[in-house]
Amino acid sequence: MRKTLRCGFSESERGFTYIEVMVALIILSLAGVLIWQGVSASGKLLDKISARSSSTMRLMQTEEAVREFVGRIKIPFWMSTMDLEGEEGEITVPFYEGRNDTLLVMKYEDSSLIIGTRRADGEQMEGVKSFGPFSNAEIEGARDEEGKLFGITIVLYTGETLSDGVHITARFGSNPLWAKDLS
Amino acid sequence: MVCISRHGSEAILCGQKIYRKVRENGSTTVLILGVLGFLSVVTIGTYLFLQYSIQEIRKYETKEKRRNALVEEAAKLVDMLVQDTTPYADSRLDAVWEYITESEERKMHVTLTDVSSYYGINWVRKEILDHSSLMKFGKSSVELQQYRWDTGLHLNLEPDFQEFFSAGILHSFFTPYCYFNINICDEFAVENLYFLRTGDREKARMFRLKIQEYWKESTPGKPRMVEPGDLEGFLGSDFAVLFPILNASPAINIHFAPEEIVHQLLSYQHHNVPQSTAEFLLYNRSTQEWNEGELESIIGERYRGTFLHHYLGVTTWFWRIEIETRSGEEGPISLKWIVARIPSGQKNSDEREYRLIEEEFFR
Repeated sequence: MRKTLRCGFSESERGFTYIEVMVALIILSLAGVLIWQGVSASGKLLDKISARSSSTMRLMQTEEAVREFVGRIKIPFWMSTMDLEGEEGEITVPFYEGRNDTLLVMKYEDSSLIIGTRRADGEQMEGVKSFGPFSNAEIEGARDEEGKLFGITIVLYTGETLSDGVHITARFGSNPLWAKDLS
Repeated sequence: MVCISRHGSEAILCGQKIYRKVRENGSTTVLILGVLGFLSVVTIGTYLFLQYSIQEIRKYETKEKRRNALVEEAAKLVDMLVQDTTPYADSRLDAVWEYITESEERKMHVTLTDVSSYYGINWVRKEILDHSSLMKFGKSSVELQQYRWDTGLHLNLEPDFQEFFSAGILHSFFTPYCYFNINICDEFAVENLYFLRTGDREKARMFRLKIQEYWKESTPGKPRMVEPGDLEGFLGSDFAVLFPILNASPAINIHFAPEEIVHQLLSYQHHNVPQSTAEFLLYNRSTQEWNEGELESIIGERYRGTFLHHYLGVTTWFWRIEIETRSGEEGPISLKWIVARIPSGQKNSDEREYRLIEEEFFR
C-alpha cells in the first residue's frame, strides 16, 4: 500500500515541494541581492545627479548675485586709472553705485563667498549676502588684453579637486574713458 | 481530506503546513513591493527636483535672450547715431528719432535723452549760479565751490547736492554726464579733475594757476579763451591724460537744452543777447537743424566774442538710451545705457566715435 501522510501527500511529493520552495527562496534571495545592488547603485547615481544639480543651481544663483553686485560698480567716466585693494582672499572696489565713499567687498570666508558693502572710512559691512558652500574661491580683477580693468573674476570650487573651478566674470556697470584707452 | 495539488490556492485548503509556505513566499513579494515603492518615491522626488532645475536653467536662458535683444536694440540706436548724415549736429530731425517712433511696433519702448545739455554739476561757475538764482535759500555759490573742492567730483546728483539745490532744480538744470570745457569750468574743479587723472596734487595746483594766469590777460569785452585748435598746444604734455574729459568743445546742445538754460545763458550780463533771439531758437529748434556757423549767424557777434560759444553748440556728448520690452511671461525688463561721443580733437572733423559708459538692467 502506498504510504500516505497526514494531509494526503505522498512522501515523494512532499520532498519535491520542500526542494522547490528552497530553490524558489534561493532564486528570490539572488534576485533580492541583485535588486538591492541596483537600488544602491541607483541611489548613488541619484545622489550624484542631485548634488550636481544642486551645485549648478547654487552656482547660477551666485553668478546672478555677483553680476548684480559688480554691475552696481559705476566708476565715473572721468577716472583714468583705478586699482583694486584688499587682503588675501578679499577684494574691495570703490564707486559702488557711483559713490567714491562706498566700497564693494567680496571675500571668501568659512567656505562661503561673502559679498557686501562698506563705507570707505568704516569697518562694518552692510547688506551682506553669503553664498556657498564652496571648497575654495579666488577673487581678482578682470582685465582685457590691454590690461584695462573691466570687472571682477571669481573662480569657485565646488569639489575637492582644483580642476573643477567655475569661472564667473562680472562686468562693472560702467566703462570709464581710461587715459590709456584713448591715447 | 486528501489534496495532492501543488498549486497555491488549492494547497491552502489542504493543510496548515503548506499554507505557511505560501505565506512565506508572499512576504518576499511584500518586501519587493516595499523596495519598489521606495524606489518610486526617490525617483519621483529626483524627477521633480530635476524638473525644477531645468525650469530654472530655462528661465536663466530666456532672461539672457531677452537681455541680448535689448542690447542689440541699443546697439542699433548707437549705430544710427554714428551713421547720422549730419554728424556736425544732433537734432530732432535726425533719422534715429524716426526709428524710435517706430519702436512700439517692435514691442519695445525706446527713449533717447540728451543728458549732457545741462550745467555740469561738477564744474558750473559761481557767476552763472549767481545769475540763475537756482540755489537753495541761505546757500551760496562759494559754499558749493568749497564743497566740491573738499569732496571731489560726483556722479550722483542726489543725495550729493541736495544740500544746495532742491530735487526738482537738480534734475532740471544739472548733470554729472558732461565734459569739462576748459573755458567755462570752475578752475578748482579743473584742478580736481587734473588730480584724479594724474594723481599729482602739486601739478594739479600748477595747472590751475596756469589757467588763471591765462585768463588774467583778458581785456574788457574781450575774454581770452582756449579754442579747440589751441587746446593741444595749451595743454602740452597734459593733453594725453586730460583729453577728451577736458576739452574746448561747446558743452550744451542748443537743439535739446532746457528752455530756462538757453534763456539764462543768453541773458547773462556778459553775453547780453536779446531774449527775442532765445525765443527764435527755442521756437524753431524742433523743425530746424543748425550747424555752429548758422548758430553764430543767428546769435550774432556775441556768440564768438564771449564765452557763449563754449556753452552753446550743436552737438550732444552724452546720450541716455532706455529700452523696455513689454512682452514675456516674466514681465517687462529694461536696459539703460549711457553712451558718450568722443570729441575728435580736430575742429570740424566729421569723425564719430561713441563709447558705452554705463549699462544697467532693470526688472
